[in-house]
Amino acid sequence: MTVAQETAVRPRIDWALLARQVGGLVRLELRRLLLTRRAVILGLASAVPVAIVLLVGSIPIGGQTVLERFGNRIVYETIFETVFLGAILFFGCLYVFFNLFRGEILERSLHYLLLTPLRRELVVAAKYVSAVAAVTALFMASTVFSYMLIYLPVGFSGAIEDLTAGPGGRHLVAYLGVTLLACIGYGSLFTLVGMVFRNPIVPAGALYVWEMLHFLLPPALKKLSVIHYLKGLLPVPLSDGPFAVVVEPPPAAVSVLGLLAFAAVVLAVTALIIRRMEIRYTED
Amino acid sequence: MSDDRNIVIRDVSKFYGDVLGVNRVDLEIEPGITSLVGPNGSGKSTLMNLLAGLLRPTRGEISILGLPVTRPQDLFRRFGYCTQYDSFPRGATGWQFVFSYLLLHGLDRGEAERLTARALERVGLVDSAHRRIAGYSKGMRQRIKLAQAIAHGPQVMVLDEPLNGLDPMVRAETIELFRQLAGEGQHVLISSHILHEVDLLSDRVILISNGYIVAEGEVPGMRAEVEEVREQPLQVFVRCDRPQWLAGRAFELDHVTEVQLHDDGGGLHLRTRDADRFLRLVAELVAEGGVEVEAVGPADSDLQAVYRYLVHEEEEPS
Repeated sequence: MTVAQETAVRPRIDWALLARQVGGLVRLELRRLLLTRRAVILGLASAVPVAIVLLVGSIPIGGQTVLERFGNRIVYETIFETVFLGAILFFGCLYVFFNLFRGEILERSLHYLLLTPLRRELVVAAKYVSAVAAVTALFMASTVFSYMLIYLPVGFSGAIEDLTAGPGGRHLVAYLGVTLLACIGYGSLFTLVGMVFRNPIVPAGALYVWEMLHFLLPPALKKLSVIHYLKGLLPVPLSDGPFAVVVEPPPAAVSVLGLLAFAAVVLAVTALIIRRMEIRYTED
Repeated sequence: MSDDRNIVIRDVSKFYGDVLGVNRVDLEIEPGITSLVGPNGSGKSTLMNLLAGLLRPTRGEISILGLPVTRPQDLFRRFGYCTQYDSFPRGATGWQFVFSYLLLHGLDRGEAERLTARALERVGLVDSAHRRIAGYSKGMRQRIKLAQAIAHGPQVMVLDEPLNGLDPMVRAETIELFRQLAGEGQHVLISSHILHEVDLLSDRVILISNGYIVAEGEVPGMRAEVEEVREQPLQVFVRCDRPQWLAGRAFELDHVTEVQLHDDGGGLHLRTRDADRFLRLVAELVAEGGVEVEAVGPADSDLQAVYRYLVHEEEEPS
């Protein structure tokens, strides 16, 4: 039987084979992401919120810690929204996802992946899922650790009571969900940016300004920002200041499904680009 | 031989904007060792990248064993490509490099380990397998790329300058490996500019210059089949007892353009546009007893001569 005939009689999709192939690529990517210098930098970045909460929860100013003076939920929400969501998640995702393909192009090793019997669309999907898993694991750990530190003033028993009987558990789940969705949303965006742009500074700078100034945007344009949907899921509402254009946050289901759909569309565009991609490293 | 057993390139052109990569390439390559020969920038790597789907043709179609190059899920089970890029995933050891990409073929770990060990053994890198590639010599990096390209047992191997950087011993072993693979009925397409090696190891040669295929065929017969070359003067040597007398007779022929006596006085080289007529004359002279000939034959029917005529290199290729 010739090769072409063999191919013709092979089942259209061998799911078990495909799972092994994708599993192989996910393992390869996870090793690249978690066992290299990149992981150290991400780990340090994810430790920043933990350090800040530790600081505001343990150093008394005028006899009270910041957590005690302003309330632990408000303080944590502020830190999460401004530091974690506003900087660390954005730039952490930029660092990892922009380099998902661009890093391999600069390293001149992308062709090894494109010479394997995997559809290019699956290469995009597997690399993206690996990166989401790696980044989410680090940032979720950071969210959990930093959140636990807000209970410093009330101690272990107070923490257990709030997490189980009070709103603490629900809030933590919300923060974890926002962390995951931020990685999914920003991750897809920066994967595409890495495929299209050689240098991230201009596109990432423009996106950052757009995201950070979203509160000034008219309602229709707010819908075109990732952070608008993420903020709508945060458990403690904070004021965006006197100049903010205030709109009703979208329902949670719209935020979640909207962000997932957004990520799917952006990844589909990325897959279309990689399908037509040529390896010409000299131009990169 | 049918298309689904060969590499088939139909009217393929590739332009980088206004710059020509290759133009109107039409080839059908059978199993065995085929060498793609041409100077730097002639289009060898472009053609190989087109075969691997790393570049998309501006025009034309390519199929490998009947499979289109746009279907990696089918093609790369049977196709291995050792590129010219001297780059590797950061931090990988030789073993990890070969093994991790084998897993992407869907093999279980045991099978991937077995094939990795076999590939490393074939290229002689077993002892260095667990060292980082970053610490490898140029020759070792060439060999680990080769191991990665052949590890999954492809039926078609495309190897871009695979002998570069190899020391003579390893070079000989690698050529032997190519012969083994070709002997197993596989396609081995090699690009090179080291002509004497190509001459020795190839079943067929494709000459490429400025993006055009200028000649193709089996090395011994190539010269005769190429009209452009046939019109070029052929160098013939004769070892005989009366070279000066023979030189005088040769100059009477209008197709002989140059005669040079050997320093030892035991023969001559000459250039002729009609070697057959000259050889007939030599035969007649021998029959008449005018000259005793020890040996006679073409002096430049090797690949290098064909290459020189067709590619018009200013510098002699190495």
